[in-house]
Amino acid sequence: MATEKITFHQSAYSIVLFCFGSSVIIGISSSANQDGWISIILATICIIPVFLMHARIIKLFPEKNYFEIIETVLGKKIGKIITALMLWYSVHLAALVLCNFGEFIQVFDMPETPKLSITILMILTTVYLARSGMRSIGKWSVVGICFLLFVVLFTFATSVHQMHFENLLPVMEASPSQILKSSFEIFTFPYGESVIFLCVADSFHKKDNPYRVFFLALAIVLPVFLTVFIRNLALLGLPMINASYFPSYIAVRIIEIGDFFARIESSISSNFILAGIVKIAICLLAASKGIVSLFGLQNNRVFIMPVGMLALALSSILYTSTMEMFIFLDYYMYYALPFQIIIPLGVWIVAEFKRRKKGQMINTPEDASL
Amino acid sequence: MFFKKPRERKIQNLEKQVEHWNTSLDDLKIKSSLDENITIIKKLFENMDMMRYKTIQMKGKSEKRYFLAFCDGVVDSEIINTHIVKPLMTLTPTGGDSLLEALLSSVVQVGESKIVDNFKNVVENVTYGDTILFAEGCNQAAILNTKHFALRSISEPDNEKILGGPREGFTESLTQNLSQIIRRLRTHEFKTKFITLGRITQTSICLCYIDSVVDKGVLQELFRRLEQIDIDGVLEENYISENIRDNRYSTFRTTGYTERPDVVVGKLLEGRIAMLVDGSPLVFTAPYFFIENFQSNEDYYYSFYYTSFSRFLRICAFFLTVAVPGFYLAVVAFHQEMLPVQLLMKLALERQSVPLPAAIEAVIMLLVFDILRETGMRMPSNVGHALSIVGALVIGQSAVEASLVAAPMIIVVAATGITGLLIPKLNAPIIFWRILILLMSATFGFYGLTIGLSLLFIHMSNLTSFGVEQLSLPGSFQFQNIKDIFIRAPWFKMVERPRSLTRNRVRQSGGEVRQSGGDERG
Amino acid sequence: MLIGIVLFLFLAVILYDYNVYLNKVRVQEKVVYYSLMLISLCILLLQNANVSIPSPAEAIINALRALPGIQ
Repeated sequence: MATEKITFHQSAYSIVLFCFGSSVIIGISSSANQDGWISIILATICIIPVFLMHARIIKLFPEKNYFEIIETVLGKKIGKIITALMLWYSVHLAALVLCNFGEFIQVFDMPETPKLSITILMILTTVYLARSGMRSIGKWSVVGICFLLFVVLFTFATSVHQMHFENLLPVMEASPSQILKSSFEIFTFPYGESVIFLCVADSFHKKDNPYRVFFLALAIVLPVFLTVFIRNLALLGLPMINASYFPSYIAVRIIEIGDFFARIESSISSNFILAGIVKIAICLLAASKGIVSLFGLQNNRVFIMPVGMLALALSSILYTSTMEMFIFLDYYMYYALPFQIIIPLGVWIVAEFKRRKKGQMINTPEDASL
Repeated sequence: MFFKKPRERKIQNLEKQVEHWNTSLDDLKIKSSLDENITIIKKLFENMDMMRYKTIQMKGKSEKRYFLAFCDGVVDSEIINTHIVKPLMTLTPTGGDSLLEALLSSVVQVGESKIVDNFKNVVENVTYGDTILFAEGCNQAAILNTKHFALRSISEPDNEKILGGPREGFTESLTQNLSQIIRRLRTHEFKTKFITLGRITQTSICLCYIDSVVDKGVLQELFRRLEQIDIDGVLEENYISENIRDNRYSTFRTTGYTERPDVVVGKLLEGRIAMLVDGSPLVFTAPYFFIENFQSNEDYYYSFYYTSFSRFLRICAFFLTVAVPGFYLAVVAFHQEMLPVQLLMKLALERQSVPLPAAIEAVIMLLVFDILRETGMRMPSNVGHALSIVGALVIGQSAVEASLVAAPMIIVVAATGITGLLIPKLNAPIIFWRILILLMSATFGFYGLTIGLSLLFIHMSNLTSFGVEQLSLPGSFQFQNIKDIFIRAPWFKMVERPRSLTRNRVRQSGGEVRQSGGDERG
Repeated sequence: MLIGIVLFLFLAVILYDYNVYLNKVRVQEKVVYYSLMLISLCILLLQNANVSIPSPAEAIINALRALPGIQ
């Protein structure tokens, strides 16, 4: 069935919202304490080659999604194994975001509501969005990015008078190895998860330059991350950030606007919903395309609902408490490494190798055979 | 005597055949014998006492017999008496290949006429005000235009009133409506195609478009869908549009309707297709964008500052009316910390004495508001005074004083209701989505409100109108694509037509009209 | 009560999907669809009936701890 195309700006904005998915609420974790902004910048520099690699893969196989590329390049047997791995990763990622979200809403908004009803509502909305196709996700991203930027700037601007910028000092107090470790964490979560975008890359127009899409996304993500981090640090101070699970929420809680308005933290939970829905929807779309590729089927719309239910089931058994969720985050970078770097690297190297041998673009499995 | 029996049998056979053919008249051809035709017509219109028949027999060398059939009430008797019956009785037909053609060209003094050969056309036309002329020996009949029915005079439609500008509105006659449109489009590119829909009503439908601007793909799709309609009667454009729309179960309309000719011509000029239905003043337009719910024709007649502000008000009104009850409930029931302290204390004081929970109170008050609104539409005008007293005093004042309803709730419901009346075209989705978002906020607070608004947005982004997306958000800001959405750009900036409607985009040259004397002023 | 919500959810979802998608797809797709729904239904029902299901997160953490260099 024909895949829907999204425009250049829509694809860039959906990548931005995808990167924001969980980190706008969980905060950009840093074991580098107040030098987190250095590790954010370092992580952004490190992700540039990875984005270049992703864009190159997209450019080599225009209008194909990741699973088709894997099968084309690596052959049927290995391709199916790698497809199954990527499929598991997408479902797990969807379940992770759902879990983050459920914990957040339950802890702060509705402690007595069972987590299941919150996550059911979320997954149903997300399945509705994913079923409407990439076209709707593109439109949602356009609205979401305006809203997101507005909320971030608004909270920053209204809290300037309460900020203590001396919380950012001393600079470089953390040792370089700590900063490097922290930047590695930020690299895998959230930047590295954009490997999922390769799975839905058949929605990019052929004429859109994928390099420019990724770099536009990066150009928007970096300032916003820095703004959020500096805002949290300046408002709360280091000990509070280390002690709280959701620093953005606590930071916005103390903002006072004028004399009469305070406690506006519920508005940034809507921020999370907007970004989180996009992230889960893209993961669901990627997973349903993976199923289609794995079993050799055709219609990928019909699998979005069962994959959503699977993510729902997974999210209810993954963790038993919020603390377990944050412990897993410490191990996440090692677990995600093969999916985010090793597999795309392998695919890219083999694709370039085969292209050099053949001397032209590879489009079908026949072309790829040596 | 000896020859009548077979003739009587033949007549009986014919009557039986007509009964059999009553369901499909296509195969019933006009016979050569005038007596057979008379029998068939009288049998078809057996209990229809409005039909009038006249047999004319000329004495003279060639004894020609003619038979006229028409329906009383829809014909102009003056024309029939003076210009059909009198010449038939006095003049002799000359020229022409057949008798009927000779009659039409030299005897009958009617400007519009045509010749048909089956009874289906006869039946369709005689009920619409035409006179049918049968002649002895001809297996065809002539249809003469003698239409004359009483029509409503042209007046401004009640739902689309404007302050200043054209005040014409459509009426129930297809030709009169078309005349209002064609006077405004003096070009050969304006095409009108007639089709007939409805098995029993045989309603005439006219599809209008401007050939050089319209998207031919949408036109073909519209024709294809209209061909598939098989319905017994079409009284109004909604009968058709609900059958052929995309997204049939959605509360939002994906085709437009209007009662004003200037609106229709404006839409035709942008590349849309209009469909007029005989018997109804509402005209259907396709494709339809979401923003057209908020556009009004007077936006283009007044200052662009004022109308941009009005349009912005209407768009805000939509979101307010859908979200305000939910927002109020979420804040009051879940997130009281968001309110400033003084407001919170006042609200708490008011709410303390009210027995019902806020959600049920909100639903009841919204229902009451809708009942009042609906009553205002249906009741006779001399009871209006009593209604406003009931509404304001009893429900508003007394209910609050008796502490059945909290005063802030009345304010919220009034705000919701009034903003809802600002956009009449969206009254269907507003009712549905307002209740849905209210229930979700009542259950889940701000989370529910956001999820409800997200569902609304996803639903809106799914809507298509004949293949064209209703809500188009490409992300890149090109002025020519957004010049007419949130603001109304001045006319000298309206250089191009909407991108999704047509390829032929250039509307005006785009250069500014230079004022004289500009060089001296520098 | 949560078991009731889960059952109601799955019933509603399958009924809705039946009209929209399931009578237009091939047999293999139906098989995959129903098997995935069955797996998730079982997991959710067991979880809400207080049967402890081993979490993949634990397995991943244990597997990672077994590798050298990660604590």
